[in-house]
Amino acid sequence: MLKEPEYLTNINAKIMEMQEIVESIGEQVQDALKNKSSGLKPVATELCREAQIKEELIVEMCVGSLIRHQPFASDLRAITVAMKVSYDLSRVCRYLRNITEVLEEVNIKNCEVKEVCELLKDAREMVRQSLKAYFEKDQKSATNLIKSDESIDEGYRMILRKYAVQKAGGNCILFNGITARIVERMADHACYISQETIYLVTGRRTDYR
Amino acid sequence: MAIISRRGKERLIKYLCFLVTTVAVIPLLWIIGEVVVNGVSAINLEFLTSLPAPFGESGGGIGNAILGTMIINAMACLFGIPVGILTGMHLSEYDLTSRLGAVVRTVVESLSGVPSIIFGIFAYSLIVLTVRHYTAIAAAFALGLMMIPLVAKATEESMRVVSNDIREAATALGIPKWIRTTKIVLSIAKGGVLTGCLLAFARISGETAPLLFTSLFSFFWPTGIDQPMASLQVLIYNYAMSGFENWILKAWGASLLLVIIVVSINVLVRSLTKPKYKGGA
Amino acid sequence: MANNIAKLDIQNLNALFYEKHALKNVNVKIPDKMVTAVIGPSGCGKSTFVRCINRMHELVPGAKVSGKVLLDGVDVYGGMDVMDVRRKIGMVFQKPNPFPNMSVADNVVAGLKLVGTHSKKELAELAEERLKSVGLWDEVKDELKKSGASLSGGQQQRLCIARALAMNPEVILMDEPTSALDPASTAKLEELVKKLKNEISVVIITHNVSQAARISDCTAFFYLGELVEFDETRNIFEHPKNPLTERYITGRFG
Repeated sequence: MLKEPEYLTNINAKIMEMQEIVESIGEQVQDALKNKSSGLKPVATELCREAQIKEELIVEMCVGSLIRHQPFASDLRAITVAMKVSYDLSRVCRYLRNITEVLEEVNIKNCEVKEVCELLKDAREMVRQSLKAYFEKDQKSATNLIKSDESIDEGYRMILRKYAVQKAGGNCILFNGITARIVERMADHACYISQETIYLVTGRRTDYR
Repeated sequence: MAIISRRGKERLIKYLCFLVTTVAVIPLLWIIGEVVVNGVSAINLEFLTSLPAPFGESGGGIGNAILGTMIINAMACLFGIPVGILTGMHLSEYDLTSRLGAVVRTVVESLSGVPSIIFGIFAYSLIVLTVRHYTAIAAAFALGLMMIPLVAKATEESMRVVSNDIREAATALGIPKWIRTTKIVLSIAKGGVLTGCLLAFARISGETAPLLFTSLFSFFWPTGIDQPMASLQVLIYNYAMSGFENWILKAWGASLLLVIIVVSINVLVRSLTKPKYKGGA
Repeated sequence: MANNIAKLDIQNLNALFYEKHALKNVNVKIPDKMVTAVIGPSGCGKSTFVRCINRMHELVPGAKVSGKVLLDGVDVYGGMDVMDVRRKIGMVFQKPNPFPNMSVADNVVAGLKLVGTHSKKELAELAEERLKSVGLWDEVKDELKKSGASLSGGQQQRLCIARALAMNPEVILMDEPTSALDPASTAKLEELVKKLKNEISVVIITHNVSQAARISDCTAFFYLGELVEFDETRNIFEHPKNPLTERYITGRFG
């Protein structure tokens, strides 16, 4: 592919900064889950706000580049994809924050959270991999990632099935159900990032439904 | 000291140029002055409209010469201008690069420098000797030939100057070449062509040598174009050397007429070419 | 694009200019009633290509053309009289070239008036109709008798288009028609081009890639005498197939 123009490099640098924030929240949430602790919500909210500001900045930079450079072909696709990726990342942030909100309200001292922890770890890995494929413009990687969404979906369904038949421990059922759902949505966004990466490289969109 | 000298040098050169120009113009003004002074007294109605009086008699005029000049010049134009325009058109539009074109162009240019007497002799041997008498047609032929190079050159150059974009536009519309050449390019160039024709006319109005071999002279009104005919130029030649007071005066008058004709044509040409030719609706 | 019939079917077109092989084996189908843009860096052959369509290239000394250009199935190089070709395929040039010795009205109908047998009334009506269709009527209706060259640049160019359209061509070729115009006139002309495609096919050369993106339905990219890519404009500008095309339209060269 062509050498990346400077405006694009700057936009991608901002996306990388967003990724760092996501990584930071993600790690803290993962720990909180493992230690079954709460009190993370304010920190998460603050970081999320930062990410939001970065997303708005990225959109502004993209629009500015459209006006100034009137790009075509791969340059044009890169701008539209960057805008979408930044949105997806902001959603991931939001979902992580949602988890801290649930942790705040629901006492899980006595709950089994191993499955949900694993699911979160996998989903975070997916986000990480999808962004790697995006920055490296790796079409193959992105395609494989879309396939691996299946395993997240399977994990989510397993958790649902398990807790659907439980009679006692309403707080645990609630927690696991909601958190699994949130994580599954996170993974979906990693998927969307991969779909955009494929469009970025090939210029074609496929129906993934 | 040095500064004064520099300014002084400038002024010196300026005055020198003025002086030289004056020196160059003086003879011209002198000639015209002489002609006017000497000829103006000869001009009157009788002079312009009646035939010459018998030898030695006073009175009479140069009416036949005036008419003769007009007829001969008109015929020359009828021959020289169309041929000249067609030649110029051909050189400009049809023959830009061929060998033949280069040859024709060289010939045409050289012809404009050939002494007029040669044309006279040519017409003499071609026509006068064939029909075995002096005739105005031969005069018109010789003068017409002299017009051709001037008209052709003016036509060619005026048409050359027309931008090629115009020709492309016409071609792209499917307009055939001959229509494009005549109705568009020539039409745009008509100012330059007209100028060329006027200058050519001015040239032949002043030529005497060809007429001596061809139309010769006559003391009568023109009877037919195949007959000898009077002309202003030959009249001046004859009368000035005659020794008769009356005739010498008439020669001055005829000279004045000629000068007036030639000068007016040149003034006309200048006034036509002054505003940039724009091509009206 | 597959649904549109080809107005011009160009087969194995080769053009030479003395020893230089200006066009190499060009094969393309220009669709009917659409705007096709021809883009490419300087010297790539786009002007030569377009001039081969209406047989103007062969007027250049040293020019040779081989191949077929089929207009509705008839080869312009064999099956038609060359004057007919130029009447059916009109052309507008980079520098507006109205005839300076004719009035505005006469310019519009020049192709007919100088050659044909139309009556004065017919010509006047036709001139008005064509001036209206290029959006010039209101601007010049009080100045119809003025010289064609007295109009502004943008007006002159529209006048030239009206003049070409008066011949009722089936295709109109435009060689960088807005290069010499200011932005406002350019915009007016682009609007006109977009309107024209309802009547006839338009082939427009442009060195301004954005212009091609704005007004054309299909785009042909030429490089060094070869047709590198030809596709719907949307595809060319969103995901061109050939890396050369991509490099050109993103401004990496040319």
